[in-house]
Amino acid sequence: MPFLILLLISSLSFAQEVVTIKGKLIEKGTRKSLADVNAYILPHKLKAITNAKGEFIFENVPKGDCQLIINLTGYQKFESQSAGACGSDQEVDIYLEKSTYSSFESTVIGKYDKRDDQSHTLTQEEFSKAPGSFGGDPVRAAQNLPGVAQSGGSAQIIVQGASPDDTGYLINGHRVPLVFHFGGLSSVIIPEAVERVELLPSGYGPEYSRAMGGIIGLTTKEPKKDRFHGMAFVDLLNSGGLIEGPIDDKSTILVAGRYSYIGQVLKAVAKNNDNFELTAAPTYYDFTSIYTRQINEKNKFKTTFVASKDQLELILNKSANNDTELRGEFYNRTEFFRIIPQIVTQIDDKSKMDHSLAIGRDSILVNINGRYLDINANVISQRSEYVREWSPTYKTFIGLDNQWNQSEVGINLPTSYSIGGVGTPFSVGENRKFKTEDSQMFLGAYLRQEIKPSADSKWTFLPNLRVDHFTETQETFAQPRFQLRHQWSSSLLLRGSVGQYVQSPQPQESSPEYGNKNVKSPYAIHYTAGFTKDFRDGGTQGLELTNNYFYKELKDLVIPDVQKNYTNKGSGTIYGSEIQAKYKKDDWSGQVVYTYLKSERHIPKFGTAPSEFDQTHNLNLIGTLNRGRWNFSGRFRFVTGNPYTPVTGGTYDSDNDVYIPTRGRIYSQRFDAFNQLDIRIERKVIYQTWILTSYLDVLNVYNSANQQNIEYAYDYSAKKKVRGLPILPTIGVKGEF
Amino acid sequence: MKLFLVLSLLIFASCGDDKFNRVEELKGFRILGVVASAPEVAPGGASNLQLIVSDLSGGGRTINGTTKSCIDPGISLGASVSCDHDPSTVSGNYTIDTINDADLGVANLYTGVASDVVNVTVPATIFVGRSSREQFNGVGYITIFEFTVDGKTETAFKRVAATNRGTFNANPSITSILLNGTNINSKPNKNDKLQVTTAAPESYNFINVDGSQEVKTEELQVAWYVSYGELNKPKAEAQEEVKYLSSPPGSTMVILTLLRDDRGGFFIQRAVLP
Repeated sequence: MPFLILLLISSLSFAQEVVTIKGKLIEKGTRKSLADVNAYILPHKLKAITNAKGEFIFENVPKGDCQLIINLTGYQKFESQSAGACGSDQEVDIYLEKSTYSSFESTVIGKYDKRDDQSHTLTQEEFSKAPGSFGGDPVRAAQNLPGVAQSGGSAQIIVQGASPDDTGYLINGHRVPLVFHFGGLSSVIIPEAVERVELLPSGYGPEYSRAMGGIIGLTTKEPKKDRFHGMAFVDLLNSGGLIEGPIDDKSTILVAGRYSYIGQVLKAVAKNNDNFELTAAPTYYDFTSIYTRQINEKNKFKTTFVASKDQLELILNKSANNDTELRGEFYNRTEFFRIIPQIVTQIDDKSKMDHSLAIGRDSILVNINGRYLDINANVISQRSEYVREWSPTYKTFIGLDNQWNQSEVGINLPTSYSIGGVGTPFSVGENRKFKTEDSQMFLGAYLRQEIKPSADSKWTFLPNLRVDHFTETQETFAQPRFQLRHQWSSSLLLRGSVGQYVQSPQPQESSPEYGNKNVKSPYAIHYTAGFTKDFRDGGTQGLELTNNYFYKELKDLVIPDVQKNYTNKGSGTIYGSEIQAKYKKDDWSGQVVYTYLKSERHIPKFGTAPSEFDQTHNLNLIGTLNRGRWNFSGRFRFVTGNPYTPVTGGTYDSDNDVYIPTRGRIYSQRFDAFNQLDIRIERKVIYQTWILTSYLDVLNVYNSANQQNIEYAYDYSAKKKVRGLPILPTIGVKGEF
Repeated sequence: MKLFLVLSLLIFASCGDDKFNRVEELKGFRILGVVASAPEVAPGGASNLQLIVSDLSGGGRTINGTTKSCIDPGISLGASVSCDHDPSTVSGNYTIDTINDADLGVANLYTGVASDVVNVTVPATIFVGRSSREQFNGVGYITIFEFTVDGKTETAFKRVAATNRGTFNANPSITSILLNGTNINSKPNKNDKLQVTTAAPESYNFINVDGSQEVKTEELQVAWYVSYGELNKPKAEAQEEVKYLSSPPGSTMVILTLLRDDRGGFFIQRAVLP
């Protein structure tokens, strides 16, 4: 009998010879393992499911012809050849190609818990495709957001009609002097190292202060954990690269850098120009590194290092039309670095601590033919926050936000008096030369509370308080900020806020030597109301509509004064409305962003007039189409021209050989309306283990002659419009693995 | 804002516009400067002011204007050029006769120093309410000249500084105008080099805003004017070469240089080139 059984088994095995097919399923281009994917072998109707590493195995597959099929939504279908496919044991790597690829595929955007209803946030996925963003620059993309003004070639951000000096710039919550490089061309952190950019235009919570206008913050990402990834790009303006990955099972690292050779372009332009010569090509570079370590279950450590430098040197052979002193050597260098260690402790499921520190140095040098501004400041800032959810109806955030500056300032500059944008020429101002060493403390503490009347209530009350103390002016401010949220329905959120926002005077305003040491801090009261309606029924397609209304009272504004240099006699109001409508359908998405605002300032003796930043209508139309490996995007902008003060003539200053402009009614005229179309075309080539992206970014496609300024004849007897950037195409390539 | 300034400089510096009158080109009536016999005086001191004018296309005429003298309202700090604030303003008239004034006339293409003189006496009380730093560095006393010519108002002003420094600023001087390195005696040709030689600049004491005292040396600046043509650097350092960029005219040409010492001192040197 045993013999018969053995014979039977033996004959069966000869009749049905089997093989083993195993392999690994990988996303083409990114090498991402695809888990939980069904794989089939036909005609045997065998099924396997990939594990977390993307591995699958088919055992006992009848030897002979077969076909391996993988059909995963969002990917191109995989079908192996059938003839002899299962002829022997095999181990295969299968690369599945996605239907569409986003810009930087090796990045995973962590879910962001949006805390402030008033904020606008762009994730990397969003800003990387934004038209007019020079290859996905986050800060340039943020200029598509509601309330952000068109600012020409400026490196500053104008939020809801406020002065650029009223906007605070943050990296990981800590102040930095700038977020834009030279001329506003790109942000100071390479886009692929940024997780998100957040704009807080008005009515924001107590976490931030020292900005009457708005806050714009960059948050660096957490490096990828699965394996090492890299990216490198080169285009007409700059090139750079990034590498990131795990060091061990608890630590990750990211290193990125960028270098711009825009100076070489300018140098070529300036080569045959008699008016100026570039002695050192203007350039900028930045460097970013991020290190994270999961210390234990509760504690996570992250350090971000950011360094940025901009430099320009030129010789103006011919003095400026209206200012004889503006000639000769011109040198400008702006650099800063920050090292920002942060530790987040998840105490339990109800409470969390977040501590961070920023240590760095700011350095600015401007030299105009021997007149100079030389600022060197050591900066330490510290933030701590304790978050506790006491009950489903009550949550608190208690925090500290402190900064210490120790600065050395050397100045050899004439005084500068400017009202309505028309100022005393450089040649005429009284020269002030001095050197000071100073230290200032900005101490801040806040309490944020989220209170619901009951666990299922649709109302949330946020009675918040912020206290700031500025040693420079010896002032302490208690700033109540109240926010209200009403979840009318699952798709409709109503919100409102009122709060006080204070900022210290600018250094030159409170300087005993250059300004007025008795100048106090200006402040603003913000009132906001708005709603967000989501028409997408829980899906990702459809319309999302946001509408906000804002009103800001500006008090104790610092204005120039002939006798005292500066006083707090200015005031102002800003009010308006913003609408953002986002629509997505299949591979199309579009946005309509419109801001209407009035921004006025009152200056004694000069009356009430629009502010320099009053752009009544600001319309952005944005569209994106993903078609296979192609991505097309475009942005059209129409913006009311900025107000300006006409110069009605000039008085000749015989001693300084310059005409002093005679000011007309301040900000009584406007530049022509701004209109511009920007497009971006991107094409990806997907290789097995890497992706090559080539792109064309064209600013001002139809070469609109947008007016950015006015140039006057030497005696102000004639004027002409100065236009902004002409059509500016940029091509580039980017490879990532 | 500084970076924006950089861009603005690039834009403005690189955009020459033929539509604008060139700063160095002499055409219609224009006040080119005001020369004071004493740019600095003690309180109560006096100085004589004369205008340097050009009226090339005026064809010879008499131009009447007014003067007002008063304490500087703080023009360098942003105040408007006006005497409305000073009840002790001294008013007067000023006449330019471009035909008969000794230094003007058709032979000089109506370009030079007007004969009329404004005698300015700085109030003895000018230091009242002024800091010791201001008293040392100088408190300005301004004279505003105003003319309406061809329907257009021309206004210019000059400061005479009152100081207790003790040693007063003397006007600088040009020793010669050079054309390609030698004294000028003919019209320049295209791309010829012009230059002035000057007496050495003076040194003087100055109190900075932080109270420190500094010995400074005057920075001499030359403003170049031509009755015809274009210059590459109409405003130049004292020893700096300036290139004439045009072909010379067939008729008489005037080249005028005005030297300033950056504290009110002034000197005129003219070359009339047939």
